[in-house]
Amino acid sequence: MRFRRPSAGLLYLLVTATGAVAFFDYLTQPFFFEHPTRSAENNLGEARYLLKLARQSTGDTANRFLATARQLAEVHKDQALIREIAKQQEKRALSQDLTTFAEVQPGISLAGFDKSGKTKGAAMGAVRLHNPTAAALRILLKFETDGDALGQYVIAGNANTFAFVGDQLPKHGSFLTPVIGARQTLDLQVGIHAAGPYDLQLPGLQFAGAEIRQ
Amino acid sequence: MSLLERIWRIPLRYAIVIALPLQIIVLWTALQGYAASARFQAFCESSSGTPPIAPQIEQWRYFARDLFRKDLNRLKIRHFPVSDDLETISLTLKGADLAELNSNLPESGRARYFKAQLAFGDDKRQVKARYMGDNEWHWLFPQKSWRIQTKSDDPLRNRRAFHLKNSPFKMVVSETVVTRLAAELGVLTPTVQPVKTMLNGTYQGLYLFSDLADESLLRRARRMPGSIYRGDTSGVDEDGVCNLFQVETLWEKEASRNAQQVANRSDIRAYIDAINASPLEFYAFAEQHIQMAAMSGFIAIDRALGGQHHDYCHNHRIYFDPYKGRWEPIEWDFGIWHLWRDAPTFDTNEYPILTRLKQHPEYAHQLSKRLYDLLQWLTPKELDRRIDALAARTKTPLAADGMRDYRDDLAQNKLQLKKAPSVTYSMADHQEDIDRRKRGFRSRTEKHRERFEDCRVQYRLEPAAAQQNTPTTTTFELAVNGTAAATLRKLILDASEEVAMFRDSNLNGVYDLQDERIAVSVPDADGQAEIALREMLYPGLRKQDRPISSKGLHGLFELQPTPLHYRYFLRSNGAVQSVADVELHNSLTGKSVIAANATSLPPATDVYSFHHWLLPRDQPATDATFGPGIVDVTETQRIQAQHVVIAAGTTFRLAADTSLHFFGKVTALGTADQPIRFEQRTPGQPWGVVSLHGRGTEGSRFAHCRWSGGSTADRDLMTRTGMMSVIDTADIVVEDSFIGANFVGDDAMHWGYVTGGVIRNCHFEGARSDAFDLDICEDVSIEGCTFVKSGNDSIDLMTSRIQIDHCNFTDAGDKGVSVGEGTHLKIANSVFENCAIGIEIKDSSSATVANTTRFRHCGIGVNLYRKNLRYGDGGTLQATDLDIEGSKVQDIKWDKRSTVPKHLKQRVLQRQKL
Repeated sequence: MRFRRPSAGLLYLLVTATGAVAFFDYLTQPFFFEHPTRSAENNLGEARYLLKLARQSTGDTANRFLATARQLAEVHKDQALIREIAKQQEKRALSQDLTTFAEVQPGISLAGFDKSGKTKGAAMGAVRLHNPTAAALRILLKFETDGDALGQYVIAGNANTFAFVGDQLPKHGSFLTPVIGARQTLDLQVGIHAAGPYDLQLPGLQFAGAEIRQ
Repeated sequence: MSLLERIWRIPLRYAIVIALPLQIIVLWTALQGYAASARFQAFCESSSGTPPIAPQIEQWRYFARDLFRKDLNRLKIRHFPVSDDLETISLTLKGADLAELNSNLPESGRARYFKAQLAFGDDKRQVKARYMGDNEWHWLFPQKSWRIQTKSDDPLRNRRAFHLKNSPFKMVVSETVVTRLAAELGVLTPTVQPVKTMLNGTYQGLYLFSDLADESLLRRARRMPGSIYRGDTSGVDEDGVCNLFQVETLWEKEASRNAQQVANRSDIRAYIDAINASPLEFYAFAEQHIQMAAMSGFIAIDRALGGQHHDYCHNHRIYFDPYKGRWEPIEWDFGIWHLWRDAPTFDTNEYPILTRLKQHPEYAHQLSKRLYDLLQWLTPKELDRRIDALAARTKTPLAADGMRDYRDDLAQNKLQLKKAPSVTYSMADHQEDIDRRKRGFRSRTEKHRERFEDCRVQYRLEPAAAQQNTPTTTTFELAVNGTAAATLRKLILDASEEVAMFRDSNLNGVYDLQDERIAVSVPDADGQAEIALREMLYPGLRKQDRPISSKGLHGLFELQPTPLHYRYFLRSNGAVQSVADVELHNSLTGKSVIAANATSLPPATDVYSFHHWLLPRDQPATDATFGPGIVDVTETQRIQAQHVVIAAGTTFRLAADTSLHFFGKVTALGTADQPIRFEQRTPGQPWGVVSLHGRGTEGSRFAHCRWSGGSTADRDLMTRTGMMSVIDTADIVVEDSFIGANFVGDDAMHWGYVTGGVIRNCHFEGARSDAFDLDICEDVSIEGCTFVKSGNDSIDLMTSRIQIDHCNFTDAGDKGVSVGEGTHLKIANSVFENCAIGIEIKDSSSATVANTTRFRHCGIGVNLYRKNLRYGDGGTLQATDLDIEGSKVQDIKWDKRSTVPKHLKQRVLQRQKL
């Protein structure tokens, strides 16, 4: 009996059918968050997803994604993933130099603020303060809003508020940073405090200047 | 050639044609997923004001999978379900109007109403419709939520507006379970019931028919129309916490008692002021103005089902009853059941009115007790039964709902989407959600049961050295911790002499004259003094910082258990050596509690609770007596005595605008010769009111009393509209009395929220407006009374169940009896003479008129119509025959919404022909 090769038509059909099955199989796979809570599939899936998001994000958002991803990876001791996240974190730290930020005045850079130096809604802006001098100093950062709101700044994960609430009129607020050592840098985020995930229409936060305090 | 060979050698052109549909399906699914993902990301960007994360293949897959599942669902759908017993609402709109609604969502959906035809069971009418809801699950996805408004004069089932909501949960009837439970607990609540919804002849799926919190809701719930406030938007205070409970102007007034009260915000101002006042001021306010039964029911449901939607910021609806002067919460938008969320106390979250109540241990205990009582019958098995019954009714229509969707909060959180998408789910997912909730409720109930048992008591005795001829003071102190209160029932002391026990009432730690003596005991032959007690010992609460990330909605702190101390002084001429026994019971479960003897008690630091010993003491039950003779009342008096006896022959002479408010039972039994009078001190200057208020007045009796010359009174946010006002009580009898002319106000006599009562052989004459007004009264009987020359109605009834027998109504300026707003009246053996209208039956009311009742020379004998536009029906007359003579206009008059027996209608029509 002589073996006859299948026709190109049959091969085409098989490829299409296999492709379709694979497509729908992929489509209907559960997402990582649909696996049992706290399971490895769930947590590591989320960590990988966040790592991917971080690669395509900038600023504080990326740092936040990486921090969460690392936390999740460490729970399940996935060393390869931890190494990959750590690598990203290092890379980001190196690339996060002042040149990526808009320079407002010597030593002060802003990110997450729009062209006019204002945050939008509940979004937080990133501020990098660099002390190029040989002496330690503190900086008084000043902001404005055009409506009632509460200012918030976050340094090393610790959130603090600065009084800003008023009477629906434009208003000013400021806060004094911790001491920045000689030739040291301080990163912080600042914005309008979002009281809840919905309902609140928040005015933006406008950078209004800075004063150096010894 | 065999089939196998044919397939083996199939030409490419045939294969391309055969494979094409599959390729199209794959491509279509992929492109649809991409479009849906892009659309959703664009919406997120425009609404949140922040750029979305970079597009990810996972997001595409998420939306593509949803569309694929929807298509599969649709393929499996059977025909429109008709075999279940759920009602169907059909809405018909013009295609162009639908297109306009969808043209620029969300604005276009809510910009204006469009005319529509609505059919709900047998009710068919023209309505106005638009989309509703701020949140995207109401309008962004195929299943839209609707707001329906009827014509103002054509309400649907006594509603002028309602919502058809797309549920954001897989267990569609989630809110229905909650609202039914609320209604059973006496909490004001909208009706939320599942209905099948058709739009232009196409099945739209299973929706929730939901009431609004408006005056119609109050009327259906047998509450007096009053203020309803909506707390749904908020700013933040200097701490970043939502300030809804600090700023009264944030509360929108949704309903008011009447048109004059629309702009009056004194009630909400007082409410917010009280929440921000000192503990003592808040307590005084709560005692007088918060309906604790309703409030504790509302909170018990939150606690039982893990409600977290009522917070510092929104989802609050509150009602102020203008007669009772009390606030009630309205069960509104319960939201997610956070059944698995653990917390140190019963609450999954707190908000200012709750924390202020919990600050007072007595209220905290009342709230716990209500939950305990609820969970005695709302067992996991009972909740399962309720959910299963509803799920069984909704299963078929839900399975046939090709567009069913739920709000996927998990996907929003995990895929880092800025908003929650609504996606489809299978019937298996639906069942899984039900099972998850059942398991959650079991687990939560177990946790609550542990808390009910958590009553920890320690005590210590600090004996004092016995001194000759000088009483010694021994300190007995207890520390109570946990989530359940204890009752101290018995204390047995080893003592040589009589022992007197004092509370350290002022909490100063030193025995002094302000300390209250609560018991005395003499030792028995064995040297043991047994003291029987009934001391409530509540645990304390302290503030614990909450995570700053959610402080806006949930505040800066949560309350956690902490020890609360109770110090007693044992005074004796001998020595109190030791405590032989302490008998304590858990105040929730009634079980015995073992108290531990400790050398030192856990410290009471940072206690938030306000020790209830510092509250004003309850007045001991007292009786008060008035008369006989003249009693001059020169200023308004609040008489708190438990029982007031007014002697026959007493005359109260009330100065202008002064009132007598009784809060206890009143026995005022005059005689024919020595009546009891309430009259003007200065002729021509009307006094205010004589009022009975609250359950303390139950069983009050009045005989041979005479009221005249009074008017109205305002007190404590309430207006008393009747010269003689009887509010929120039961079992009241007034006999052989005279109710004369009043001034200024509406009513000579006014009863509101009275259950059971008799007015017998009384004479009403010359009322300025209505002689006797009854609102929301049950089982009140009016017998043998005469009503003469009432300025307006002789009897005015609203939402009541009343019997009238052997009464005469003469020369009423308007109606002899006005039967309105859902009232049911039975009347017999009575006479209406020369009244403008004999009986008027209106607004979903009915009157059974026995043929022994006579109508003589009235303008209209019986008038039936729909007056109040909040009611769909007019009046219903039930009578075999009516004895009507000499009517000046017509014997019986009715409108098309009213019901009159056919034979009576024919008789009237025949007379008209003649």
